[in-house]
Amino acid sequence: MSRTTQNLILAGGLGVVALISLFNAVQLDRLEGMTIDNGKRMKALESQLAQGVTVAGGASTGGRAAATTSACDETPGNLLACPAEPRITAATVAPGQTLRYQNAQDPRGLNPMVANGADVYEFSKYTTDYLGERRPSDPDVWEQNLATSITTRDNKTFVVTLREGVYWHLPTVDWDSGDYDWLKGDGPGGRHALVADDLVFALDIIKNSQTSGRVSSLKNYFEQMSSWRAVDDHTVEIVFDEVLFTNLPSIADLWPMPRWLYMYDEQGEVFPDATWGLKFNEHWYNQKAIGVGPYQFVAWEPGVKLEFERNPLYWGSAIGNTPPYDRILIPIVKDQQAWVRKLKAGELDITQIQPEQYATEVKPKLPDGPFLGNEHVVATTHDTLGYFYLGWNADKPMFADKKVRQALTMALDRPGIVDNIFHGLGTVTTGPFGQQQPCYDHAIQPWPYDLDRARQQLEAAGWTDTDGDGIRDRVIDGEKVDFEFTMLIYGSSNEWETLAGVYREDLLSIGVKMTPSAVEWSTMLKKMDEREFDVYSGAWVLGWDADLMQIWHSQEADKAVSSNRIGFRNADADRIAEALRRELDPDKRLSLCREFHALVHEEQPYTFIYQRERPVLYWDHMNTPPFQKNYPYRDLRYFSHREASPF
Amino acid sequence: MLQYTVKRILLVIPTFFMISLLIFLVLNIAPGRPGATGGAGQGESQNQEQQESYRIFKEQFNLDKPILVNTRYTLDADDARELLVTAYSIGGQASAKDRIAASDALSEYGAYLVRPLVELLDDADPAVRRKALDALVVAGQQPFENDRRGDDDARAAARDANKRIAAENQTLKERRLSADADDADIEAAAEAWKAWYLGHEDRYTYTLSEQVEIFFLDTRFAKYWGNLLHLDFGVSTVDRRPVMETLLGKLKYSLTLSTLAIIIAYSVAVPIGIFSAVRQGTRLDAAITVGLFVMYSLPTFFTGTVLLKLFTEGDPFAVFPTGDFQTMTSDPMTTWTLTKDIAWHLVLPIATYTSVALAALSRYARSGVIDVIRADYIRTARAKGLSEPVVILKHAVRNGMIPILTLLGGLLPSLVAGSVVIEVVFNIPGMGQYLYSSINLRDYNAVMAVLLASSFLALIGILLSDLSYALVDPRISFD
Repeated sequence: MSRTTQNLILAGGLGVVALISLFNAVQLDRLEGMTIDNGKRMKALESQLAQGVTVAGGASTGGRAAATTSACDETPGNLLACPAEPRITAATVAPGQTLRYQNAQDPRGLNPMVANGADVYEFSKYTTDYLGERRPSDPDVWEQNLATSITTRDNKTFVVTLREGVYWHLPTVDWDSGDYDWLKGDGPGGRHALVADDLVFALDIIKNSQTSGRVSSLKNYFEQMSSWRAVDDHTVEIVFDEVLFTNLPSIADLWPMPRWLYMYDEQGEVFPDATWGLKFNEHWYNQKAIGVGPYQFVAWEPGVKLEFERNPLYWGSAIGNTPPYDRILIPIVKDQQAWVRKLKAGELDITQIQPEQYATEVKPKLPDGPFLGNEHVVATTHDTLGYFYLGWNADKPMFADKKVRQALTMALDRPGIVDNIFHGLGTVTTGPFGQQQPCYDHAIQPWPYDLDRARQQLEAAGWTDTDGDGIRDRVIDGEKVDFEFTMLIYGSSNEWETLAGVYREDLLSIGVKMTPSAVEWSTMLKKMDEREFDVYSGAWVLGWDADLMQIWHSQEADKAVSSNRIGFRNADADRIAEALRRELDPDKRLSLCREFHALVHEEQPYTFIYQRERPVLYWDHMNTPPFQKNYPYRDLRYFSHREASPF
Repeated sequence: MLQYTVKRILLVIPTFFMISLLIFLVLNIAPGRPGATGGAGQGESQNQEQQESYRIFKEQFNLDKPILVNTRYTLDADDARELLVTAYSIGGQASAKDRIAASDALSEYGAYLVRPLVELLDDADPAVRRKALDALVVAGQQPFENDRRGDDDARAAARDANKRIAAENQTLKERRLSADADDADIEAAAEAWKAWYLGHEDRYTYTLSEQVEIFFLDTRFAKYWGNLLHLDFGVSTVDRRPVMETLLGKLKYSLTLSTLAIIIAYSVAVPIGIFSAVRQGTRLDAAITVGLFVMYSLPTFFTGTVLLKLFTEGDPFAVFPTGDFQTMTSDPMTTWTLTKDIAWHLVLPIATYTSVALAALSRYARSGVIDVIRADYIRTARAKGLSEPVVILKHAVRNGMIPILTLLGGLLPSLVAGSVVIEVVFNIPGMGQYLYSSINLRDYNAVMAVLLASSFLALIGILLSDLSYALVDPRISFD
């Protein structure tokens, strides 16, 4: 055989082998596809089956169970009101949809008792139901949610009645391996029923001295709680030693935790009593979420996405709160500039838009659009509950006089800054409350932007330019001091650098020299903790119930990790903050917080700048998203699709 | 050769130690602190962690220890008195800054303060005595032992020890006096503490050898290295998960991206380099050079953003996805669909990566070939009548590629460490993105782990490329 023939045979052989491999690969791919399809069908079947079981179970226990799950408990003395309307009020809701909404980073865990962070709290709203729910139109009213009633006879002893017929989600574990059979309960599909002990366990976690993380801020509110016990399967009695306003909101904003999960290690062995709190902090299930809420946890791929799906056994379906989405998909997109790009490409249904992008892409096209060159994209904004401010270090003698602080506020052109630097996304604010809260006194006018008055005030406070260098000075403690200071600003934001630039010029014109110092957040935090600043720029996100202790009380002024960083010490402020903790009467509370607003406005420990609105873009296959008055403003439980997503 | 190799490998160890020391110092001295939540841009919520949990946090991550050397065993009653006087403004008003610094020190010095504080129980000033009692409650708390390391026996022993420690800590906590305690209470508490101290005196007095040990070993750096020797990279301060676990999860993204990118960069750059070497000095060569340098000079974040703008947003094209590693869908995909999907997502990031790497690589290839193309054996090859392609490909390129092959060793760390900019721009959850966000959050353990992994690989890479010189080119010998 010649060499050529040999080569030909070899080549032919190889060709045949290649063909066969290709054929095999194609077949394998088809097989894999079929397996996946089968898996999906099985899953759908299982969830149908599970639903069938509860329906049957509900029927067998007779009319009583049905009554407790659907009717509203209107017994007099119930501190929880009946829900005013179902969560979804839209006329049409498209079935079978997935909602896609980005998150800017990985959450720090998904156990809402351990992991800190606004996003963790937000996700817990979907997976975990809280005992009460704030009425969206009036957040001062608590509506029934997981608890059907909370009663009290003396505002110290509270009796919580939990809803019956509620089941925990199935934990997201590899059931097929058989290693997790110890997690199975007696309910449908191996679920556990919600019982009073689950709420007791949540309180155990809060009162355990070893637990840390998010729970440490809850500990403050339960410090006065002396006893907590299950009275029967669905009733818990909680006793506080003192009558405090925070007692009811703390209970209503609580959620149950499953003891059958968090007291055990991954092999099903129970934790020792002496150290279970420590083990709980690092529990193996903390990267996953469990609850009884409308959506159950499916997966969290770090850096990629979080995924939730409809809870097929959601108790709320019985009272008209069927979760509208099959799935909630939350891609993690760290580059905030990319959010709009992803919306435009149809990879997101709704997103926030960054202020600078808003200024170029949306603002010029208001009010009718089209936005992003597409008539199906809708632009809107929502309020936030909080404010941006400059905090003057109260320990610096330079800022000791309130006339000086008022003058420094009057030198800051807040209306111009909101319009030009923050693109009109917000309103100038005057006090420590959100403008949508009753506490905010709209009669108080912001200090004017008035450089002449600022100059007069500084003169009056003894600051004059004695040496003619253009900078005012004054003798403090026998030493001549120039009016010079440094402003610590958040360096990862152009807006604040621009603001500092504008402010510096205005200050210079009234004889005050300010040097901006832009640093990133972790550095800023350390400097603030160590009081290494003259003035800093900051922002507070507020809770709905006015609690002034943390930011304004003098007892917080000398602590390192404290919110009263400026060291504000004022006897009247202390009195009001303490009184607000105890006062239950709504009218008296209102007059107290209005008094506080006036006091802070006069004292100007902060220069209040503005309350922000956040711009949002969404596709019009969604129903108009109802944003909430307090955090989380975007509460996905209230969102729905009008029609099927075209993407 | 063997001797050289062994010598080089041995040198890796001290070099690695010095690198780790350097990174550790820079990281710990850099301004900022770990444990920051939220951000000023978004606003902070008021739910700050309490003092006590911040203290435990620092203790857990050894942040309460000095960085390199520890002289806290020398603390005496005078030091402690000064701290108390400042922290609680006894007999005068200290500035908030000093008070905070002093109370920080009080909470950080821990056990080293116990003896001085007990001595202060006899102080003349009743205010000092009272505060010393409060400070003792904190200083007497013992940290827990690590019960997740070693074999079952060691773990069980650590667990038992922790039970004892928890019980003891609890009894000490119960000694905290209420705010309205009267003189008799204070007197009784002081006596109780003194009695307790006598029972535990050896725990709080240090022999010379113990002092030496403390000086060097009870420090952040020594603790870190101690863990490192157990291959324990620590726990993230952000999500409290073992750093190594997270790193391994990120590896697949960075490894896929950079391996593909390097392969493609090489397979494009080398032919370009050869081509321009052969056409050296022609207009085409000049054009290629200019083109490559333009691409090289454009920063990756710019190239990446422009590519995204042009090819994903639909004006003019919407061909590629807007970043990510794969489609965000909950539906499982077959292996083939998945591969296609990932490949489709990686086109733009790889193009960005290549556009920068291309210039350097093709320059190396070009100069490598130019170096040999004038050599005698090339002239000989031409003279014996070989066709030009054979001369170039078989004789010139083979020899000219030696330097570019050895470059591969240097690329090893970038395989793992990934590219910060590209991963951030294209939202690929790899090591680069992780490093970036960890630096922002001062997640010391995470930053250390990424940097140590890549410096270790860099050392190995350099070693390999040095050795490969000798292997590829017989003229080079290290002996």
